[in-house]
Amino acid sequence: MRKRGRLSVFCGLSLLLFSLSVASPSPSLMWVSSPVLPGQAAYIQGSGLANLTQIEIEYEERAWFDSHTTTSNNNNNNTVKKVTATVEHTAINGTSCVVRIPTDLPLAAWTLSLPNGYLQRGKEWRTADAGGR
Amino acid sequence: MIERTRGREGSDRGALGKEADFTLQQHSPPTTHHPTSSKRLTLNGPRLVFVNGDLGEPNAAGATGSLHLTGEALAFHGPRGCGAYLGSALAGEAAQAPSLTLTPLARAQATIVITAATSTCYAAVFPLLGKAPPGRYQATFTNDLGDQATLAVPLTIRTPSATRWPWMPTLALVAHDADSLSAALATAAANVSGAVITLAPTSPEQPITLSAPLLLPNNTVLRCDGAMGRLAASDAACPVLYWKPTGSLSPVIGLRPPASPSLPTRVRLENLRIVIAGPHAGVVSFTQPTQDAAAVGLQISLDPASDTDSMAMGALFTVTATATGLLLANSSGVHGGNCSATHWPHNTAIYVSRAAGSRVHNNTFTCGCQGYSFDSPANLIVTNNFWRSVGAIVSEGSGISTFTTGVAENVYFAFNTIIGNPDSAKRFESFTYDGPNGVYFGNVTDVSQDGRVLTTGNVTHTGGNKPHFADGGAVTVMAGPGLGATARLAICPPPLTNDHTLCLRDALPLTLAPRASLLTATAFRGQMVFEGNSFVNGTTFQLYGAGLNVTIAGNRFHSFGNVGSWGLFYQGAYQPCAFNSFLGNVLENGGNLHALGQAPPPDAPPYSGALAFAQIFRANRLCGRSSKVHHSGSIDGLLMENTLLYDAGSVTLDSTVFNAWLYNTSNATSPDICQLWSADHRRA
Repeated sequence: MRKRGRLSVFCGLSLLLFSLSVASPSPSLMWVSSPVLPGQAAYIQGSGLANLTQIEIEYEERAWFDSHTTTSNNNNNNTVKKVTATVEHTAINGTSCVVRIPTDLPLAAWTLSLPNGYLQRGKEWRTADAGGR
Repeated sequence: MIERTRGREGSDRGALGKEADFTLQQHSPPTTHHPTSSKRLTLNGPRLVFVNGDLGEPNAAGATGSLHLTGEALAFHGPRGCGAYLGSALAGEAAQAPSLTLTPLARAQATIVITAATSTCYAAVFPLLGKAPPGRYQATFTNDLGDQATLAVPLTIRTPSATRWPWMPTLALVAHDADSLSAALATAAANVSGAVITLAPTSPEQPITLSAPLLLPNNTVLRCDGAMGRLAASDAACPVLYWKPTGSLSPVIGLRPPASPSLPTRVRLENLRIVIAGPHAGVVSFTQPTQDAAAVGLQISLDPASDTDSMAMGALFTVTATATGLLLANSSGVHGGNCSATHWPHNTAIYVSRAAGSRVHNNTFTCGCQGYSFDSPANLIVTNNFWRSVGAIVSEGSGISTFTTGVAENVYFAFNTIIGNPDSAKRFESFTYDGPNGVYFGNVTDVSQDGRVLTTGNVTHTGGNKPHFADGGAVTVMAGPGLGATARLAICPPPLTNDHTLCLRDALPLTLAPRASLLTATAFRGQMVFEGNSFVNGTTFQLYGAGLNVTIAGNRFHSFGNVGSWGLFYQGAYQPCAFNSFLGNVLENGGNLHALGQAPPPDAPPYSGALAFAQIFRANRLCGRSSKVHHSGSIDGLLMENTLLYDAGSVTLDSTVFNAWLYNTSNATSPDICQLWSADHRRA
């Protein structure tokens, strides 16, 4: 019994250390499949994403656009808006996830970012994941 | 005889060029794009990869002076916009066409805004229309959504001048026959400022029969009259160059050794008719470095005395040394080929090695052996060409390789038609990557503070048959912390030039852990777009190992084999595919759309991880029972969405594919779904 207990503790610690070393580096976004239309799924490669449930999307809502002037996109009438998109799946090792782009998002360049709360919880990880195959 | 028709340079501009603006080889240096790590990523923003000038070639309307930009997310609207490749025609017209804003750097000139004449999701052409004087500009692109990106390096606009090659060489010569042509070449060689040799017609028309290879000296133009690069088949203004060799194999048209080996040779072939009647080592063969060389409007035909002669006829175009600003356009020819001896990658109808800032456009090749081979290119545009395989012994066998330098990057391969030959005895790939081998597979043991120097186990400096331990190779993290991150190799400075150090241009974008992060160092084949091509009766289209950041969009594959990425087994290193996208392609009457991570061979270093990462399949269409999807082998990260099937075969995902997400695979009710892009197929 004592040997089994030591073995269990050893295995548990090993698994924990392995998991921490592999699955929970600091959260980071590295690559996203582009382009994508509203309503479609975007694939993200990164690290530390195993617990991610939401992605923040910022975009510029333009009051007007005229590429034939040098002031396009520089006018003060543009406003930056932020929405939240749902992470539908994450890889258990935290290296990839799939985000559903909201259907009603205006087609434009979108800036994806990790929620602040998730960044602060960066060392968290989970052992079970609904995503994957 | 030699006739001097123009004594001073620039005294007669009409002979060679128009008073219009030209752009010449103004490509940006190869960009280094790799995933960047941060807390933020941009999705759908335009990304610029490279821009080439028109190299002096006019467009179909005869206008010159255009910029050819390639990248990503350049246009969302239109028949070839991103929307179409993503499976949804965007309603309505774009608010604005894509545009390029040129801001002069040196002079107080007004900013110039140029609207794209044509645009797709991955390319845009901007006619300058005389708006941009010569000079250096900052170039900012705006796509049809109004989002912008700026080229990382300034653009240099160049226009023709009295002293600028290739339009204004100083000496104009005329040749009527072989003797006068030989004499003209000798005169041209003695005139360092360059010469234009015009082949003049005779009455009655007589061919110019060659008895030795034509070796062109530096700064030589050999041409016939006629619209530039638009010689009509019946144009009697051009005497035929007739070649019936009797001695050892040699090229028909080559380069005279330069006075200074360090200087590239500049030549131009324009509007020539060439008939080949015996074995040769290539019709146009550039075996020493060239700059701004061109072969435009050539008609090459064979008149072999026997099938044996035909089999010994070399490639139409062979470029085996560094070619910067090369233009091969508007030409046609038949390639005999000796496929029973050596073939891939050299005995293709066109073999171009180390082409940079170059363009292969609107050529028609009939291939007795294999098709096309581009080795170690950078900033290469290959558009609107036609290859038809007719070889009975060997056919097909085409692609892009890294045999020479270990790096093939920034290639835009679009709107070409490639037709295979199912009746051939031996068939190779309709398109493949090649030039395998790597230099390292193992853990990192230390990482420098700036992340650009990795201490490793033993690095093989020659991976197999060629050194790939070169500037620009690829490093990919295969397991452990940093999984999936890629970076580009750099040449290590002393004292780091040893067998256990890898140097990088930029640090890997994710944090590594010594003794836990597993690396592979390979050739780099990536940053490429294959758009709008038609592959018919072919074998395979495959990213064969180390395919990184490649897009295959809006292509048609008809009666075809495998279409996909192929993370490759160990050959000095494991060779993964990563960050590849297959968007809006049609596979009709055959074709297996796939990602593949090939299992390691038994004698390879142990590795149980993935060989393909982040493979994206979206809005592809498959018709016919022999068309199917099969993702197999060791893969980590795959997204497939909006796949449309009509009476197609199975969609299979092997149990070795991890982190794969499949959405919305549906059956269509009409075979018309696979008529997409059929109007763009070029028939010849």
